[in-house]
Parts: sequence; C-alpha cells; structure tokens
Amino acid sequence: MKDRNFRGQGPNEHVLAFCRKHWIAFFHNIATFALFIALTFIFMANTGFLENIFSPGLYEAVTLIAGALMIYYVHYFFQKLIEHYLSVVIITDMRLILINKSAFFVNDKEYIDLLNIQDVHKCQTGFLQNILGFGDLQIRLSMMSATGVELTHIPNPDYHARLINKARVAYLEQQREHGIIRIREPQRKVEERKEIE
Amino acid sequence: MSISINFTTIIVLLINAISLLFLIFGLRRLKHYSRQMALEESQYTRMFGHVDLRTWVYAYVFFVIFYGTLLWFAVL
Repeated sequence: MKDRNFRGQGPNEHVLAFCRKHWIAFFHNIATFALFIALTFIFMANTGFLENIFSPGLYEAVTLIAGALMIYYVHYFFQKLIEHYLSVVIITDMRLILINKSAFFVNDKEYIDLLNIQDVHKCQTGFLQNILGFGDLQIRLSMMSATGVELTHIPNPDYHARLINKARVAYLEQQREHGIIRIREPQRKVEERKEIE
Repeated sequence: MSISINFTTIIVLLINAISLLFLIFGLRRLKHYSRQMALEESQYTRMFGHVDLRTWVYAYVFFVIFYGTLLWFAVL
C-alpha cells in the first residue's frame, strides 16, 4: 500500500522511525515568547501612565502600532512552532527522508538512498547535549566523499545512528541477494583464493 | 457603549480580520500536512517529551483571539 505514513512512500517501504529536532532547538523561541507575554502584561498595567505621557492622538497611534506588532509576533512564533513540528527526519528500510516544512513559507524535501550512505558519525559534545540527550548526526555520502548531510539537535542520537547503520547494512544485503549490486572483493582476498586454487 | 466608525476602528478591524484569516488558512494547511504524515508519535518527537501539536494549536487560537481583543480594548 502506497502513502501509508507519508507522501511518496513506496509500496514495500516501511518506516522504522522518525524524529524531530530536540525541544532545545526551539527553546530560545519559547523563552522569548514568555518574555513577550510578560511585557504585554506590563504594558496593560501601565496604560494610564502612557496616556499621561502621550497626547491622545499619539497614544492611539502608539497603541495601534504596538498591538499590530504584538499580533504579528504571535503569528511569527506559532508559524515557527508549526515549522518545528512539520520538519521531520524519517528513517525507512530503503532511504532517509529529510522534510523541512512550514504552513506557508518552506517546503523542502531531501531523499537519501541508504546505499549512498558511507558512514554515520554521532557527535554529542558538551554538558547540555549529554544531560538532555541530544546531538548531531553527520552522514557521509559515498558518491562524493567530501560531501555529507548534518542533522542537528537529534534526540537520542545513539539510537538513530545505530538504526540508520542497521537499516543500511540490511538494505545492502537485500540488494546483494537480489543481484542488484555486486560488492567487489578486496584484492588481497582474490589473491588468497587464487593461491588456494 | 457606542462604537463610532472612524479610521482607527477600520484599522483595528482590518488587523483582526487579516490575523484571523491567516490563522484559519494556516490551520487548514497544517491539518492537510498532518494528514499526509501519519507517523506514530513517541517521547522523542513530542516537545518536552509529552506536549503534542494539538495543545499548541489551542494555544495559537487562544493567543490570536486574546491579542486581537486586547488591541480592540486598548485602542477603542
């Protein structure tokens, strides 16, 4: 069955896991929003004071602009939040799918075949990363050894790195069994076999 | 309480109308995208381990209405 879990899923493709960025990647936005709410209440408590400072016309204009900016910021914050929730990394038994999406502004997708993955490097350095259990995954691609993909703020990076490696090995074995790919034997082994023969 | 229709009232109504339209269209698109991605959530995918998107959607609606009303009462 197609498109069971996400759009573009193959009929024989199974989702092994998916993840979003760790909440720490979004925490600065939440902290700013909390500060913004606090400032709103301060503004509300001091409207009488502001009315005394400004002339009636200026007070109206300032309040109007401040209110419009506040509404704009509420939308900005929640659009960022929606982007955080819609941006996921899906690990299937055939490929790795990186989706970066928001309601209106971003719609990026990247598909990486597991056969193209050379190596997965887990990077978890620093006090916060180890205490809160998040880190980065560096995925090296075999086609161009210099290039790769870096997934930042991945929760439980150890589990996800192991899962990608396991899926890659299983997919490689499956492709070899079906004769789709042939893995070249190392020169040393070929020579050893020739000697035995 | 009588509300006289002047320039400020029109601006406030316009800001609130645009804000509500943006909210409605944003949530419609979010619903559409969420249905496309029927993935099983876990503690690694929810914010702080247990806050899901539905909770944030309620918060979004609340804050848009709250700030719209605040603007209305502050200016008019």
